[in-house]
Amino acid sequence: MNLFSFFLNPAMLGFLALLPLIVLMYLLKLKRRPMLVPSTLLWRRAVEDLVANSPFQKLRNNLLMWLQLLALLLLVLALARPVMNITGTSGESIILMVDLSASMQARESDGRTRLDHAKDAALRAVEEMSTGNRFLGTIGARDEMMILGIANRPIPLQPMTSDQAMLRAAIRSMQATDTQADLRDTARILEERTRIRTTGDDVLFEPNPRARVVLISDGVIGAQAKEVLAEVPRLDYIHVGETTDNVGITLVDVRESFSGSFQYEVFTSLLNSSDEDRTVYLELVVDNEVLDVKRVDLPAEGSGGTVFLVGEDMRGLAVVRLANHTDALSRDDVAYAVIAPPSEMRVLLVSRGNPFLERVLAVDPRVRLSVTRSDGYTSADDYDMVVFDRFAPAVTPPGNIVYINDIPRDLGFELEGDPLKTPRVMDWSRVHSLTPQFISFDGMVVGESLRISLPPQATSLVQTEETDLISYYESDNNRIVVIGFDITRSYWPIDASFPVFFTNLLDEWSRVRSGAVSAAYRTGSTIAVIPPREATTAILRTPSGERIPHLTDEMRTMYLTETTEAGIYTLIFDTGWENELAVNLSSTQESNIVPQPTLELPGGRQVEGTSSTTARNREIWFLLVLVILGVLMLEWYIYTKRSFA
Amino acid sequence: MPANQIDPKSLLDPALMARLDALEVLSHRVFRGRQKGERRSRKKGVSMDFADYRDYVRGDDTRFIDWNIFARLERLFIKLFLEEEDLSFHLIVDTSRSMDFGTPTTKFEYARRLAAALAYIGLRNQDKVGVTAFGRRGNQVVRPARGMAQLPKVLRSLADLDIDEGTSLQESIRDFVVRDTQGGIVVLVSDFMDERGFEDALKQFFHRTYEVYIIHLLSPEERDPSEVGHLELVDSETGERQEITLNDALRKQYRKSLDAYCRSIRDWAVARNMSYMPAVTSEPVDRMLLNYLRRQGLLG
Repeated sequence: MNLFSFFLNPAMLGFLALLPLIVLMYLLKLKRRPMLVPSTLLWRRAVEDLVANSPFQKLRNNLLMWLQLLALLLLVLALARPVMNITGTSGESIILMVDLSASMQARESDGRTRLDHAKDAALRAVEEMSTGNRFLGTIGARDEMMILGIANRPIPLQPMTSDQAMLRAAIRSMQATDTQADLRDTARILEERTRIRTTGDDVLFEPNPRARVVLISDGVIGAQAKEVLAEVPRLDYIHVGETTDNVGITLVDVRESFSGSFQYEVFTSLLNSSDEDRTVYLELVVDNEVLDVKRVDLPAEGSGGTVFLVGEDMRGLAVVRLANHTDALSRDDVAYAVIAPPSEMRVLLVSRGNPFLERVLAVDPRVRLSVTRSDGYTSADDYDMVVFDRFAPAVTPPGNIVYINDIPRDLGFELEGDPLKTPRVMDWSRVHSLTPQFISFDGMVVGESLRISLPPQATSLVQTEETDLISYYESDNNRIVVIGFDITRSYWPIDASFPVFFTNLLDEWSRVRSGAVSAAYRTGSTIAVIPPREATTAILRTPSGERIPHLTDEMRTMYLTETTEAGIYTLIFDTGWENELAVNLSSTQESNIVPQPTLELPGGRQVEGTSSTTARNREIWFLLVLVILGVLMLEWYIYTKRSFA
Repeated sequence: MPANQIDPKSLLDPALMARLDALEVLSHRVFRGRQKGERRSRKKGVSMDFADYRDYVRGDDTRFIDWNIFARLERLFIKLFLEEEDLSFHLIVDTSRSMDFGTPTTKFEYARRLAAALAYIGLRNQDKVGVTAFGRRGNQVVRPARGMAQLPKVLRSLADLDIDEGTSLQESIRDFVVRDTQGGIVVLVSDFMDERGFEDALKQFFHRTYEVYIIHLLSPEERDPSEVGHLELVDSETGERQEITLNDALRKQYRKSLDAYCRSIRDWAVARNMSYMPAVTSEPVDRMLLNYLRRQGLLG
């Protein structure tokens, strides 16, 4: 390779002839100021000692000269306009991260999406990989690259390889998701890939000098993602995206109206990321019928919202969308909510009479309560929930069961000795969904409780010093709550925790929650679904029509994680029961598509975005000028320290 | 008029004299003076202060027999008294070229003020005070003499002293020792900037019974050189030239050399029963006298 091809202006190298001048100047004798002193006796000794103590005196004397030579050399090199050739740094492990979050779907003025631009940049990055030196054989090391998509979780697209064809194929197959960028899981991959674990006396993680992370993104990532990026030792940021034109629906929520029991309220929030004020018309469509249109004025780079009122008889799929509106990002122009019919819950109370229980169950609109005496109990088959008050059947029926002042002996619960007199509540679980943090059982005064020994599968919800007042048990066939005391002989029914506990129980065990009549989830979130009792398989139909089979474990909560797409998912159980799930982008982060050309990372680190990696021919004269400045400052410092300090 | 000649009156001001009145020159050795003076020596003899008894032997002065004891013990005892002696107090001032440095007071001027004050103390206490200047071969500036009448003469001589070329510490002390026959207290004020060292010079004091006090004078500039940059130093006495680049490192090294030099004089002197006191000309003369010399035991 011709040395001169490294410089854009090699003629300037002629100034290198100035270098001997500096040496010449040092050869000239320094003019010294004469000074009469009483005696040179001690000075002579001091100078002799100084020379004797430092063998490098001569070298140090010339340090200024060396610095000046260096400064001149750098100056001449800078004048010759050197360019940096990126392929020169070979043998790198490049982690190419491509933002696949929703904002990357934004369409730029040229009609192509940000992801299209990102793909171009990624392909260029693959082009620029060092493929080794064909002539020198093994001496020129090859770069390798892995491709990681960034969405709500990392999407591994291509493991580490030097095969450019595979990398290109992986890049072409990339698809943007409707999720919000989240780098929490990516952090582990980055840590593993960009740091080397050194085990000496201490385990340390040194930056891996070979590892380089290239992020291709519009910069629309959260603060938390930036924290992850701040830990990356070598980070290049290729920036895509220019437009800011977007209005997005950032929230849809359907709630029972507080103003009357006959209506639901559909809350919506909108965000305008452009630098101009916008007026949009928001439509509410239920069951393919436009119910309402509302005008919303949004300030530049601001947000707003509106509320729709829906009649009680309206059921089904609610769609909120921007009418006659186009902007760069269309995925957030529509949002869904499922307004489900209040699910009926058939509850059987087996009791010899318990007004408190009857009252607390009957008051819930979901509950269709049947009451029978213990001798009238035959089967629990037709009920969604059975409450055995002061009674236990010989065999616990499958399903959701509450035992009060008695225990399911066939499931491993045992009594230990005599009942406890006036047990005092010591503690209760604050993490279980039936006893969330805000309930207090402090006011629960109980006359007498059973002394129960729990089977291993059971968890304690409310405890006294010696036994568990309320416990929870879950198996393949059952969800069981055991309340170990007679509630008619306690003050619990007049304590606030009593109705709250039972409402939680009904919420938990009914298929659809009360209050929130719709289920609207965010893309990327995990949806927990309780399958119907006899279901064994289910199929999840995604908005794009893909059908994903699921096995259900009867009564066990199932978790749906394939929610990267916004829209309506349908979960079809083999029992024939169908459940519609609305999944929305609902992200102020992603809807605010204003691109960030510079990543401001925590700790004051700034990563300047480049439009592409064409920096392979970037001029580096300014770096040299910076170094020159540094050298000159160092020289000045040393000079003043020597002469005037 | 020589450049360094000053008004004798400026050497001692009345306020300083008043403070010096309380001091006297103390000696730690016994000196045989020619005249019983005010000095208290450890030689027992005739004076007003009783010291001890001893048995009478023939030939003793019968005036000193303690008859009270004889009455009780029927033995003759001679009362012994601390004998008071006069003392020769020699002030030796270095007049070499190197002394002519220092601001605002040169070492030479400072040495003369110090000598004047010490002379005043000595004369006030009826000691014989003599002044010797370095360099002037065989020239004793003021021969040792007693009495306040001597003071104007001493001051005049000190005021008239001038820097002398080509003096050496060794020759000067040798001349002094040869000429002096009485011994006594010697206060030597010098900067000890002599190429030939100080050991051989000071050794000559052993030829007589001297109690030697060395006051090593330095100017503040010598202690902490404030100059910076590239310098060519010229030795005031030898004219020798030394090129230096005065920076922190050299300054530090110079301080080390200076400290080592002072320490070598002190160690040498202390090992030979001489007292050594470093003095900086920025220190007022009276403080030097009232604090340091007192602490060293020269004055009391």
